[in-house]
Amino acid sequence: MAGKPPSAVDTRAQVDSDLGIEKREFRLLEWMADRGIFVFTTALVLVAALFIDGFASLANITDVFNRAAPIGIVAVGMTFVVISANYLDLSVVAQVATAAVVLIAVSNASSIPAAMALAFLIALAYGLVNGVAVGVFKANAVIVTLSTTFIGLGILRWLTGGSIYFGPPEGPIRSFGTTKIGPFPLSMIVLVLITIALSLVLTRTNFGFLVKSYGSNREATRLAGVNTAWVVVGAFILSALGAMLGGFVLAAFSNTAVSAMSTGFDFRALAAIIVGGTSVFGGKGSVMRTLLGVVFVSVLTNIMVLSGLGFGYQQMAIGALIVAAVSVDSLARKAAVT
Amino acid sequence: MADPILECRGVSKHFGAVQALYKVDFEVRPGEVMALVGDNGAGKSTLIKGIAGIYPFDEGQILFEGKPVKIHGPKDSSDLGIEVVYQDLALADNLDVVANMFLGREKVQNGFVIDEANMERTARETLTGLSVTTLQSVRQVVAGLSGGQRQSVAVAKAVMWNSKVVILDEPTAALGVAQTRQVLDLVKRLADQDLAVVIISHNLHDIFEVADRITSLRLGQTVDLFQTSEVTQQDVVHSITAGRMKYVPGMEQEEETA
Ligand SMILES: Nc1ncnc2c1ncn2[C@@H]1O[C@H](COP(=O)(O)OP(=O)(O)OP(=O)(O)O)[C@@H](O)[C@H]1O
Ligand SMILES: [Mg+2]
Repeated sequence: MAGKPPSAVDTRAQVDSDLGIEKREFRLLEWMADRGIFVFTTALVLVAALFIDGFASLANITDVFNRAAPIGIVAVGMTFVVISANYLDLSVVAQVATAAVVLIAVSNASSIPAAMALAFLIALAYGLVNGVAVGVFKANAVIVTLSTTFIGLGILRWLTGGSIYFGPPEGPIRSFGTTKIGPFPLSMIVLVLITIALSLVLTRTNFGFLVKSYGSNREATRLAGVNTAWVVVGAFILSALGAMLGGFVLAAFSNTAVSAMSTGFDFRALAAIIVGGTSVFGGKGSVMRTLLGVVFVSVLTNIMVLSGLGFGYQQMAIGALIVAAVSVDSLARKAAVT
Repeated sequence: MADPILECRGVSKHFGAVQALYKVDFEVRPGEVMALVGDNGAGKSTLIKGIAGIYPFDEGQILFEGKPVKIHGPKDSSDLGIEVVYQDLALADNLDVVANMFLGREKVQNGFVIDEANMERTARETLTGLSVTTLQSVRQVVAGLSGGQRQSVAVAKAVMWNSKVVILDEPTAALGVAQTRQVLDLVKRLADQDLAVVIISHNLHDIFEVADRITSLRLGQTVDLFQTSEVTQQDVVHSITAGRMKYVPGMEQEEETA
């Protein structure tokens, strides 16, 4: 024949069947990565309701929702960045605080629409800067968004001097933050509506389709003639808009705003996303899953609070959760490779 | 005999100090299977990536249906009707068959809403039209398919866009015997439907089975153009390993006077 090693064909076929065998051993991990969240969330809520004093009270449930909503809104937006295989958007920390401060401070000085318009422009700027750096200049998303966090928080602290802004005791912001429908604060209803909207974007529009394609196989998507930079910019803009709305809701809940109020939002949102089953490798995941992940993370945190475990323990739990979820994701992925 | 639908005249490409292609001539006609052969690094993939618009040639001309064309990106070549199935299988593992076949070119209604039903129907029709019958479902995720099935999906994807030229870079390299059979039959069917097919392969047995003509490259240069029926495998092996080169490697500006 052509002087080519004929064994090339045989070896690759061999590898295929080897992996086929391995696949069977790892079924449990695949199941956990794919279906785990449904079972774990249900189990966690049941355990909490049965064994944790004070969990099942109306006041506590509302409190869980109030705390879950801002992080949830941030997380469903950030889900697009994760599915596009760009890891995460760390700058949501700066973005949430900025939107909260702008909402309270600017509406005190001027009007609520003016505050929202300014916050919207800032969100677009964040989305564009992150998106262009990552999508056009191909910079690493973690480094880029870590840097924009520094820049954003730096500017915010410089402008505010670290001071706390209080909203007026009466008015639309305050009433948004305190209105409930049954046990559901308005913020939770906003979260559900945004989740539905973004879920439709991801599953029903060509943009959502391209985010999945790009996250699944960058090269193939580029070779198909797709303007991939636009896809990445779009993902970061959605993340920024989520962070902005998360900031609004957070400010309305406490009727205050300060540059340090969103510490930890990045990792809590990431925890919700990947515990939900969206893959950190990109290409696979859903917005609805993130909503479930938010419930899981929030209930877990609440259980710890009710059990008297302090913030340090909660941080450790979130960290451990991320490591566990990422490990299951990696192992399941390795096992699924054909 | 039909005129060439796609023709490269004197195309060159270098990467830094490596002259991957030098004044290469290449053509393919409608209804014909043209094989492109050459040793590792001969420049086969580079030639088709240039045609596909992945990167521009340094010099030379591309003619499509007899007219000179400029190809600046993958979009330009697919607009002309040239589709490439890449060596490394440009499929997205997490997506199902339909999503892969429409990757980057989804059907939409009202400007942005995905038209799933339409996409699924078109994908199924294309696969059936090519007699690709081994798939259980077009909603299956590609990661779970066999090598032959994956390759069939990639080929069907290339054909679906009313393409006129389909280029396959080593479509059978990672396949077993039966799966290779599947793909070779598919290649013949494409030519029967009057498409121009270019197939890159190291397997001369496969080439002699499907190709009408054979172009051989050596160290970035075209060395021979054979009519498959007129040569033996031995002739082709000789051309690949020791074919006469028109230009002296390393002194590309001067023509050899032998
Ligand atoms: N992107 C690139 N950058 C630098 N050099 C490259 C690049 N692509 C190809 N080359 C070089 O160009 C030459 C031709 O490579 P090419 O991939 O076209 O060979 P091939 O004929 O397809 O070989 P194979 O049979 O191994 O697929 C090789 O020397 C290769 O190293
Ligand atoms: Mg090659």
